[in-house]
Amino acid sequence: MTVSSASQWRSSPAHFRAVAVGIAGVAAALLFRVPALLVMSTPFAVVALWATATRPSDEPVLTGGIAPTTVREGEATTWTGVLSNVAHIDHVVALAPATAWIEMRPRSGVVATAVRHGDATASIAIPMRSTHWGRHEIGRINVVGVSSWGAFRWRQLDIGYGVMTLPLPEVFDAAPPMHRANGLVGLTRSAQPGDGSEFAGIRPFQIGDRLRRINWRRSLRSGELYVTSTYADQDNHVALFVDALADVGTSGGIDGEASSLDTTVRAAGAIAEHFLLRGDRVSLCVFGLFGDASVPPASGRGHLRRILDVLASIETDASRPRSLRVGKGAVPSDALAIMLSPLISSVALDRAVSLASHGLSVAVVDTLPEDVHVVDDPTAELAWRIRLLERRREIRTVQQVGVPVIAWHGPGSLDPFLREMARRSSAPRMARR
Amino acid sequence: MNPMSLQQWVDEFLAISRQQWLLRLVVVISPVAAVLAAAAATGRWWTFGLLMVAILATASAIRPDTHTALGVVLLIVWYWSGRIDAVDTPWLPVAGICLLVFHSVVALSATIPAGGEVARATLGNWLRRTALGGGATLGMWVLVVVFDRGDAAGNGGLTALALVVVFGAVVLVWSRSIDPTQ
Repeated sequence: MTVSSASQWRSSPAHFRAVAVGIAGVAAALLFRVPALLVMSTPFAVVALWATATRPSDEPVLTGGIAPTTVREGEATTWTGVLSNVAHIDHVVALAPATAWIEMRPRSGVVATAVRHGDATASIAIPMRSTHWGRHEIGRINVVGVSSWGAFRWRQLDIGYGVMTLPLPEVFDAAPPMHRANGLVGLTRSAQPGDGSEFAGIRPFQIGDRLRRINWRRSLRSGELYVTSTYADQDNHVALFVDALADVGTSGGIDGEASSLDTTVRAAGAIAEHFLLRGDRVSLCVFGLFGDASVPPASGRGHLRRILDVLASIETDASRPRSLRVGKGAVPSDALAIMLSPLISSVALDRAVSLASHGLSVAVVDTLPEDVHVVDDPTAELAWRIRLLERRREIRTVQQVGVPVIAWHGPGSLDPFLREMARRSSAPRMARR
Repeated sequence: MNPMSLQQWVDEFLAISRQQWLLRLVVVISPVAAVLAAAAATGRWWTFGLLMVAILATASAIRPDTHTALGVVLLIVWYWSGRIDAVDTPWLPVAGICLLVFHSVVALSATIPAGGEVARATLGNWLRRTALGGGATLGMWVLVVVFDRGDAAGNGGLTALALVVVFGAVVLVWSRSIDPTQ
């Protein structure tokens, strides 16, 4: 919550009008003996005296705040202002400036509330709905207190606020089992025996076995100690790579069309949410972003929030597409790498091939919208068509070296790839060391 | 006032709420009704005045937070005071009440941006106040008619007292209207 400083009550043109016509009119009517002027000036004199007599003496104090400050796309937040010292105030008006991707209710962003006689405080609220991921700066909210007859006004600008809008992950699900990994925690059955819940077999007791693993029924029958062995519960490391080099297409927010970056961010959020809720570890690397943007692998709901925070702060950066390092980095060789990109720049494909050559299971998710409208310029349209042809050739080349390129269609998009990975996991692989 | 681009004018026009449309319609109609009352009192049309008042009232409706509305009121008051001598015409309080309605609605419109809507409770308060102001106008008219029909002789003492009261009101209004820091 913020507390603003006090400001002054100032008279309005309406008060000037009432005073000028009322007082001067009555005086002129008396001096020049014009009764009609007296009759016509009387209401203005009444208004002038009434407004003056009820002029607010105290300076109101505005306490404003916005809550919650972090929302998902499509969710609403509310700015609330509380005005104290409201004696003799007739009504309060609040105006929120128009902000991109923030819908005000009402749409004008203007809310007015009456102040009842005897109230010590007046409360006013402006509901706002965020329609696009990212950090949105809501400008300073203008609060005006109005005295009776609109004669005096008190104006205060509340400080601006920032609303972080996390991307709303698209619906995503993957039915096939994950490929085999080396982790020893998680929900997926490992091929390695270990301390898990999936039954593997019954074997003779060995030194180091836990007593609670002893299978007493079999041990009593045979006269020797036997234990129930299990498979270790594995986790997977899913490494997400997000291409933020370019944003293609029109973004219409959560209710409209999705640009390539919208699809990329929402798909990355969906994949991260899916695997994190399974108990897997997910890491994130955004390339093309100003500055460093990577999230180390971890699991859990808190980690999902960290990933969504980084995704929400993405801005496109086409200024240095060729200066990227396209090495394997710190991604372990058993990780599942998923590259999300509109593939406008070849950087993402180069990086995917680089990761695959290090032995990682890599999939490229194509997030280019199906119908991209090019500006009404024949040259630009021709250039765009040529680029699309080049892009098609690049995708074909990448697919030929064994990196699948999958168009994003929401639920089940990765199923063929994951199924293939699970099948391949038992086969020997060649990797460059 | 900052110069506005055409696009800003269009945006503002499209953003006007239904309630504000109604209020601004009253802003245009009320002074025109006062001129029509003057026409009814005199028995002849004041075409130039009607046109001027309509133009100025429309300007006031577009920009209520300016002194344009003062021009509308002064124009009508000047015409009535200069051209119509009859005090007992019932069109006089009608014109006075029309001007009060005009002033009140312009003042209310000026307190809120065009896209906003005034709370119902506020509308009720302003309606009651305007009715009281209208009652005062009617009362003053009755008083003036009674004095006029009684053909009361001029009283210098009462006039002086009235002027002192008016002067006192001016001082009161002036002292409470100005910014205390100035």
